[in-house]
Order: sequence, then structure tokens, then C-alpha cells
Amino acid sequence: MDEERIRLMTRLAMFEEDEETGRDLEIVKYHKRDYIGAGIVGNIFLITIAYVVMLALYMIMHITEYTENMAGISIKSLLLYVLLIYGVILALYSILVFVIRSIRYDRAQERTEAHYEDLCALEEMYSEEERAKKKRPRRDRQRKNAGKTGGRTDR
Amino acid sequence: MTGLNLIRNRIRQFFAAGDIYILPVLKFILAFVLLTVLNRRLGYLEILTSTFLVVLLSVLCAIMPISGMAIVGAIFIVLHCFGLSMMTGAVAAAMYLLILILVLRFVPKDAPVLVLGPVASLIGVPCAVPLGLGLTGNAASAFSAMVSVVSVSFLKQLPAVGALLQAGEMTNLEVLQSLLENILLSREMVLSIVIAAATVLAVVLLKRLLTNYTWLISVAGGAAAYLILTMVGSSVLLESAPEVPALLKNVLLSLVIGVVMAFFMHSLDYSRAKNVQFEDDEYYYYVKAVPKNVGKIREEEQAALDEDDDPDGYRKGLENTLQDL
Repeated sequence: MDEERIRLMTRLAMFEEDEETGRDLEIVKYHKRDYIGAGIVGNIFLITIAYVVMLALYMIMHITEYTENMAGISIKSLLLYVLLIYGVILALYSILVFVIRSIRYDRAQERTEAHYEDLCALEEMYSEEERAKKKRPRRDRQRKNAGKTGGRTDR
Repeated sequence: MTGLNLIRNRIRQFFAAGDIYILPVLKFILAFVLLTVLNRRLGYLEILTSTFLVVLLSVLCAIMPISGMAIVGAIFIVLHCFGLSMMTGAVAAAMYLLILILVLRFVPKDAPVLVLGPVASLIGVPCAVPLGLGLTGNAASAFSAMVSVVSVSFLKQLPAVGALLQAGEMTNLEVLQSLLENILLSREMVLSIVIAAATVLAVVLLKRLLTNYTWLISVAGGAAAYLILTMVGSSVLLESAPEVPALLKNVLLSLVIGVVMAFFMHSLDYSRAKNVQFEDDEYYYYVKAVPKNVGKIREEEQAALDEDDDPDGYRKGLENTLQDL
């Protein structure tokens, strides 16, 4: 048992199991642009739902006024107004998502660097072990041959 | 203080040693208390008040992360609202959906305020929520405090809504309109939101001070901001004096909760603080390094263990005698 390797593997497993750092690994799987883009697309979907809900609540609150003054309302300007507010809210939240996702990605990248160094170290340990395994049978064969030929080794 | 540090360290060790069992048990208790309180307070949907269901949901909460408990609590409230009337249920669902989409998806770790806010309000310590959020979070937690206030205000309106619906004097739509106006447009609501956000910001800003005991100062500062803003805001905006004994009880109990949180989360030994100065090509650095209490606690624990091993002081006596010789 290689104590150093066990320590390394434990550290790697702990990093992957931890809720926060595990999420970091999920984040850095993507390219930064894709990660932010996916967030913005999701944001458009969520903000649209939220805006429809907000409109419904607003309509409940003001339905009496609207039904009383139906004749004086221009549908075109009302629709324009509704779309304008939607655009403003969507733009604000998209900026927010962009900023938050950028910061989150950069932080995740910083935190996972050490983890990847550990992974490389582990891979190096395995390769060294493989190399040692490959060398060992040749040495054993050489030793056997040396025994048969009375101490001389054939190259 | 030494004794307190020892107790804290032992509590931490106890939790660290058995966190696999202790945390689910604590989460189960918290969920059970929360759901029972909600059932007693709301109780509009008969089926949800069954003890078997409450226990089952508490077990579910015990194995989920704490934010899962917030979601279960929110669904529980929405279902009770559906028991009151379909429209109230729809408004409750819409409100929680908006809270999740517009605020809590950016600060998911603050999700528990959705359920802890109402519980804190019910036991008379609403000030503890912004203080706790300020200590555990950052300036963005001010938004979480705001949504917690909205959630609490919504729950407070429900008994009145139920009474109005039962009286049958108003139509469903009129009742809903008054409910939404009371939640979104009332001066009391706006004042509560401003106070909660200001308290969180006060705690977060004071936490960054470069003096000793910043966390304790920030808790005290946050509580003072809450008290002053409530007194001034009530008399100026609402033109009515607040209930001073209830307010003082709320602030003092919240202060105690905040101090306990600060004690467990941020323990520094200011007596061993070091001020270091150095420079490089571009800057002159004034650095203050304050050691955590961990090292000191270990020494204290060792001393306590030594005392336990040698209760009658034989070893010390022997050492003294040897020194004299």
C-alpha cells in the first residue's frame, strides 16, 4: 500500500464529494462562453415565466379599473408598454446572470487547479508503477538466465 | 471565557464526530417543529395536519439538504392556501415562484429564510433573521431578508383573508385584491422591507471593520439599526408608536442569538494579535494577524486533562518538592 497515493486519492475524493467544490468541477466541464450562454438562455425562460406571473398578479389587482375604462385604453400602446418593461427586466437580469456566472466560473477554475495538479500527480504515480512493473519481469528473466549460465548475462 | 471556549470546542467535536447521525436528527426536529407550527398557524387543509404525514415529510427533510426543507415548507404553505381558496393558493404559488426565480436562485444558500423567517416571526424574534443573514452572508443577502419579510407578511394576512372569505361579504376577487395590496403596497410592508435590508447591510458593513471583536460589534450595530429604524420609521411613516416592550424583547433575544452565532462561527484570540508592517516596490503593508482560538483551546484542554488525571494535585506537589530539593 502506497501511503502517499492513498492520501492523494482521499484528497481527490473529498474534493469531488464536497458540495461546493463538486459543483466547481461541474462548472469547469464547460467552456466559459458555453457556461454563461446556458445561464442566459435559462434566464430568458425563467424571466418570461416570472413576468407572465407578475402580469397576472397585476391584472388581478387592477382588473376592475381596466374593465371600467376599457374604451379609453389603446391596446397597441398597452402591448408596447408591457413589452418594454419585459425587455428592461430581461436585460437587467441577463446582465446580472452574466456577471454572476463569470465570477463563479473564474472562482471555480481557480479552486479546481489544485485538484487537477493532484490528478496529474496520481496519474504520474500510476505510470511510474506501470513502468516499474514492465521492468521487473525483464530483470527476473535476466536473473534466471544468469543462474543458468553461471553468472554471465547475455545482452 | 476559557470555560466557554472549552464548551464550544467540545460541542464542535461532538458534532464533528457524529455529524452523519446528528445532522439528520437535528434536521428532522427542525422540520417537525416547522411543519407543526405551520399546521397550527394555517391548518386550512385537513389532510396536511395528519401527524403521520408531518413525520413522513420530516424524515424526507432529514435526508435532504437544508434548502430542500425550504422547498417542502413553501409547498406546504401553498397547499394550505389552496385549502383556504383556489385563488389564494394560486397567489401563494405565484409569490413563491417569483421569490425563487427573481431572488433565491442567485443566493440558494439563503433559501432556508423562506421557512425560518415565518418561524422566527411566530416566536417573536423577526430581527434574528436579518442579523443571521448578515453574519452568514454578504450584501446580496439583503434581498433574501426582503423576501423573508414578504413571506412573513403574506402568512400574517391569511387569517384575515380566511375570515373575509367565510363572512362572504366580499367576492373572492375583492379579497385577493385587498390581500395583494396589503402585501405589496402597504406602508408597513415597505418599512419592514427597508428595515430588514438595512439591518443586513449594517451587519455586513460592520463585519468588515478593522477593529477587534468585529463580529460582536456588527451584531450589536445591526440590532441597534433595527431598533432605531423601527422606532423612527413607525412614528414617521406609520404615524403610530411601536409596541416598545415587544420590540425590545425581539431585539434583545435576537441580539443573544446573534452573539451565540458569532461565538460559534468566528472565534479569534485578540490578545495574541500581531501587527506587522512591510513593504515592496509598490506598496507599504500594515497587516494585522489575529490567531484563531483553536491553538489556545488545545492548550486549555490539555491543562484540563492534566487536572483530570491528577485531581488531588499529587503530581504538582511532587514536582514542587523536587524543585525545592
